Amino acid sequence: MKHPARKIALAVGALFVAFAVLLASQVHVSPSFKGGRLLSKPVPTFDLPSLTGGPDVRSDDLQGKVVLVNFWNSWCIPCQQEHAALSAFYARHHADGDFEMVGIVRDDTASAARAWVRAHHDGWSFVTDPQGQTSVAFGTTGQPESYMIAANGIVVGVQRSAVSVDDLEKMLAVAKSSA
Amino acid sequence: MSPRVRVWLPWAFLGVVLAVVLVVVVVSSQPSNSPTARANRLAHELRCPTCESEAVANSQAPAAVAIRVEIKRRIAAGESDAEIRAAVVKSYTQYVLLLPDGHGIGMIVWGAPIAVLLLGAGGLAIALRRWSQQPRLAATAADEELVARARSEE
Amino acid sequence: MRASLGYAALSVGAASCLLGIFTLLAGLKTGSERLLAVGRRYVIGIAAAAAVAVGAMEWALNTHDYAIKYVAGNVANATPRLFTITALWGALEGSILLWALILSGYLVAVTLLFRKRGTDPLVAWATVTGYSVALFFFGLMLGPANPFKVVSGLEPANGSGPNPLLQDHVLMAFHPPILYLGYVGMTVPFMFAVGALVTGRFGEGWLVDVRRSTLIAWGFLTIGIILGAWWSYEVLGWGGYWSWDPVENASFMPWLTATAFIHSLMVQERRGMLRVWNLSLVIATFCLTILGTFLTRSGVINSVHAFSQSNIGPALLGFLGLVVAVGIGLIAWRGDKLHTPGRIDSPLSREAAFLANNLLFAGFAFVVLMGTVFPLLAEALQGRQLSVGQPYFDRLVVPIGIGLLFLMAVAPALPWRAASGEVLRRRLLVPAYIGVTTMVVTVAFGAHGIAQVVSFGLGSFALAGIGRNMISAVRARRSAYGEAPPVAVVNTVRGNPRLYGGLIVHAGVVIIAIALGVSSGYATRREVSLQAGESAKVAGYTVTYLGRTIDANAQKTTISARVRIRQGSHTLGVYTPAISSFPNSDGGIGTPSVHTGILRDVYLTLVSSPTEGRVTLGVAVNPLVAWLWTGGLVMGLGTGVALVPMKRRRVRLPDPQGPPSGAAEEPSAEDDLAPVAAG
Repeated sequence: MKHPARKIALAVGALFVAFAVLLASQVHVSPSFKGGRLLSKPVPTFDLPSLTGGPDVRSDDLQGKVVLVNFWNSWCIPCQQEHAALSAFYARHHADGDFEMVGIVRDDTASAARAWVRAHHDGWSFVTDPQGQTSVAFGTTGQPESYMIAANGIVVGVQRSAVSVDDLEKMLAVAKSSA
Repeated sequence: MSPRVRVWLPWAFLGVVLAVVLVVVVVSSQPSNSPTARANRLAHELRCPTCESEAVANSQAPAAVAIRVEIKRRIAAGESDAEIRAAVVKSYTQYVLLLPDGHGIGMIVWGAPIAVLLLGAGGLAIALRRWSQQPRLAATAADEELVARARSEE
Repeated sequence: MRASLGYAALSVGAASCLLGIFTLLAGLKTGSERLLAVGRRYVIGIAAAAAVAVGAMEWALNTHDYAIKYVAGNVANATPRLFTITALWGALEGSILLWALILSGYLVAVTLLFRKRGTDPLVAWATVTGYSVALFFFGLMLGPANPFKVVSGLEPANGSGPNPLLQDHVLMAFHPPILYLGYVGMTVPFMFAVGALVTGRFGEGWLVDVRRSTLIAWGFLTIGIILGAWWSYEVLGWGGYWSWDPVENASFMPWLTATAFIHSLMVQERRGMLRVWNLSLVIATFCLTILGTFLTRSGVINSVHAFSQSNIGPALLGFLGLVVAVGIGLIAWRGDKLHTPGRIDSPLSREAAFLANNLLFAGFAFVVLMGTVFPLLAEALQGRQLSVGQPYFDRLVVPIGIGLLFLMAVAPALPWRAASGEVLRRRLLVPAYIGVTTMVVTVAFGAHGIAQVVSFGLGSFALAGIGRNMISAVRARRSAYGEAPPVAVVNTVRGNPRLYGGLIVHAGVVIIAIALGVSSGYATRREVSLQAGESAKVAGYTVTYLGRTIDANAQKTTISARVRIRQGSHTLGVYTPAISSFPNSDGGIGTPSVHTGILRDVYLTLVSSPTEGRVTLGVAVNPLVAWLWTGGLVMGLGTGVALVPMKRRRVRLPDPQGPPSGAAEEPSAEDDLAPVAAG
């Protein structure tokens, strides 16, 4: 009987080559989670209490409008850095009529977030997410995260880092053209 | 009692006791379906999306805490385990499943090890059978000569 | 200056490897004994270079030479002395340095042990292989993983300190070096496997050469893995000790294949079979150490303790490719000579049980490999991010583990070649009854969970078998020599240290298996929110919040809760789970506080930072966890016993017709004990 070692060795070798090629293709790919897949999907429904004492904000009421949803909190430094861009963007578009902006507090106390909003006199709506239900539904992994939602309720832009006015304008243009 | 029976009787008795114990254990350790037990089980099956490699159950990260709350809320709302898993996957993709789905590419991770073990077991069984049917090797004339030479040199 | 010294030492090390390889190859080609002798001596250069480089690094760490990037990144002025020393293996470059030191230590040991066979081509080829592996690691440090890289620009006034998780527990001083002793030690059997294949002497001789070194490396790897589990239990604070994290898997896979080899080499020793398989296992073990290093050190996989992204990935992958190519190439080249005319007479025999054992261990290793690399495959093939975690491994590994436990109970009692019904009855019936009785009793007392109950049964079956084996051997010895019981025990063990060392290791495995089953199946965990002075009861233990303590120093700021644990009216002490913040990391690092008990641990963690008036605690009562570490200790002891050289009885038989010596002297299995006792 001839020993099959040679054939087995070659088969194992071939398998290993394929395996090594796969490994090599991953050497410079970051393994950390790249976030949820909300892009091009319908926005999750939400119904959240206002941070500043106004009426609840409900996703149903926002239908037909382009909406920017921004997850943030008072202690995160990138959130503070992007604040100027959000303010400028809001100032430019809040009179458009078909545009709304909602800030959702993530991982913070309501009092700290409220103090921040009062200090900065921001005009858009702010809501809390008391049990984190909406931040889970959006698949957030941190803050700041921004989601641009077209008038038909489809998420057309996602950014998981601080935004600039340019980023927001680009997302808005996509939202308007997709409606 | 024939000697054959005397050899096998104690083993047979042992086998019966073992079978009874195993049945009792299987019946008595059906997993609990209380809401807490279900929530705990689901939390161990889901990966915390913002941690390194921890289950939702083992992490205090905000995302893990929020998913735990969400699991409890959905159980209270009467959803099944599969529905809850699907809801979390919808937000966070299949990345959060610590028990990978066995369809599509997931067939590799489940199928390959099981196939290797089964093929190995089959191969081993065939080899053992073939060996036990093979006659023992007889010494060849060359072997005999070698031994004889070695003896004479002693 | 220290940087130049270290770098110079690394260059000398690499040069010694290169020169040694060329000298030995020249010696092998020409058959010149002088060249072979010179080639062997280069090991001094390699070892001295590694020692000087490690010394330079420790010197730099302890004198805070922040001009060196590694020092600046891994210690700070406020880092305690212990963690300054351990910073050597706290990050990638330093751990490669430790690797080189340990490898050169093994090379020195091999050279000394085989000094009388220095001109043997097998040993020379093994040494060439060892030098080549060392050359790779020195090369890694001269290139992409240079530990002595100097900071560009101004020297920082203070370093950033070690990773917070690595400056918290004294096990940091023991776990990595011991693990590396095992991990790197697997190079030695690989060296000899290559030597055996190149010289074509892959009979049983090379097994004798590597048996001991494999066992030594395996023992260190075992203890290193157990210490790693202990470290993660004491430091990470999620309440468990093993999470099938890629770094854990990386050390576990070679352990599995090495364990398979330790068993299957006995089949080759006894029956001359499994030559290819044994060579393959040794080569696979070494490849798995390199693959594990690649997976966890190149940043391709997420892990609790993978080192940060680095650029040594391609080099490690290339080296892995080379090693696999050499291994497979040699086996394919020698393919037709490797066939052995062995046969296995009966499925009820020791050798058949070893084959089943090897199938399960190899399958086990494959499951772990698959689970570890599957996320990479999914990402490469489909661009999808998928995960594999604890529930996957539990589902596949528990049945395999139970199969192995069954073999461990049965196989040591099986004779070689074939077992008769009578032998089975005499050796196994009582232990089997003890096993089933244990199951009945534990179920009667409320044990649940099929895996748990079966592991209790098989564990006591195996222990009873070990006990029966030892008792009958001691008894035979006492009746033959009239020795007192303790003397007879010692002499029995000394008469066959491999067998009894192995059985002690098995006893350690049983302890661990039962502790795993109990601690994973019967733990209680609750979250309690307490005001100062308030108590809560968890599984019979009363925990009381006494208040918090804040301790700030330059190394860290620690907020700890003082929690008193009582059992009934008996106070077990005040424990302090804590959250620390370190200057080099944002967010707090939680540290659990554990009351270790013989039967149950009370494991306290902070759910959030405590205030003076209120704390939210995670309280877990984990049964039998201390026995995991004890079982590891028993396995280590058993390995030590198995390494004791066989006591040679000088048989001075004037009778020339007496049995040939050796037959009576080497009883390596129970069925051989009878003639010894009688003789």
